[in-house]
Amino acid sequence: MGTEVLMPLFVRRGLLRKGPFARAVSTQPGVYGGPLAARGRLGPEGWASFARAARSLPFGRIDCFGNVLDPLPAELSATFGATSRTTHVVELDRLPEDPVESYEPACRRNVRKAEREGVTIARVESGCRARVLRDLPRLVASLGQRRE
Amino acid sequence: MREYFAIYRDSLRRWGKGESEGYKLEWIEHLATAESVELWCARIADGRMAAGGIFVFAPRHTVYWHGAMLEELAASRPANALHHALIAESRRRGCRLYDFNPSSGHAGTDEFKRSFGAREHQFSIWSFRSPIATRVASGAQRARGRRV
Repeated sequence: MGTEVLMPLFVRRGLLRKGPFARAVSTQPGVYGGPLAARGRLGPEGWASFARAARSLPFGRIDCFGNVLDPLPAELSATFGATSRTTHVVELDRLPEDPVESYEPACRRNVRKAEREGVTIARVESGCRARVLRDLPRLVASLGQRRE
Repeated sequence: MREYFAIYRDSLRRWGKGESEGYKLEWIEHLATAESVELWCARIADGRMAAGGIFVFAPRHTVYWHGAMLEELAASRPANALHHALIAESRRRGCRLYDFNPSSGHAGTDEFKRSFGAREHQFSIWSFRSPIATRVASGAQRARGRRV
């Protein structure tokens, strides 16, 4: 059994969509949008599948955001060039019972102000799922690497 | 979705960018229909959408991928309320990290993220280049070196 890796890519439109100068971008591995192995961590085998498959794609360059929780294994680093970036993360298991207590005072005041003013938060359901699903194959590049 | 796109266009204006520089409505619609990708919004008391964000959920990791806010409703602090709610939601789902993603150089954005107690983490963006693209990039680098 190999690892099946799914990697949706953001691809530029137009003439530079394919070919040696075409560039594609993927988000964090393990997060939808990045190289994704089932629902778990990519792991060394998943990363190896990704590296093999990347060579066969019709792009000159593929950029993939690193995942703070699931970095690229050191032995594969030579396959890729790396650009260092900084992200900001909240470590959720370190938060107090009420997360507001860990915020800076100004942020805390702003959250309270929003509550007082009746700001409500809700998920927006997409009303265009049926139309867009038809186009998903264009959006998603499947990098399945399956061995019998 | 169109409501969110309207406030995104307002954000583009605030950042000094033209509409052609931003993402298209179609891209946002595509993204928001994908599995694990969710659009959340903050509404003020009269029901108007004041801020929103596209969040990518993985079992251990939530990534804030894209956000926008309507400037005229900023005084109600909808963005603070939105992130506060999503931090709580991510913890409820069992995630370990709430990832604000790297900033795109917008002034004040890093400070805003830090105000939630977010810590800086270094990570890498991995780039895979095809052999042709590698040769072109090396040539360009040598040419730049000769000019210096």
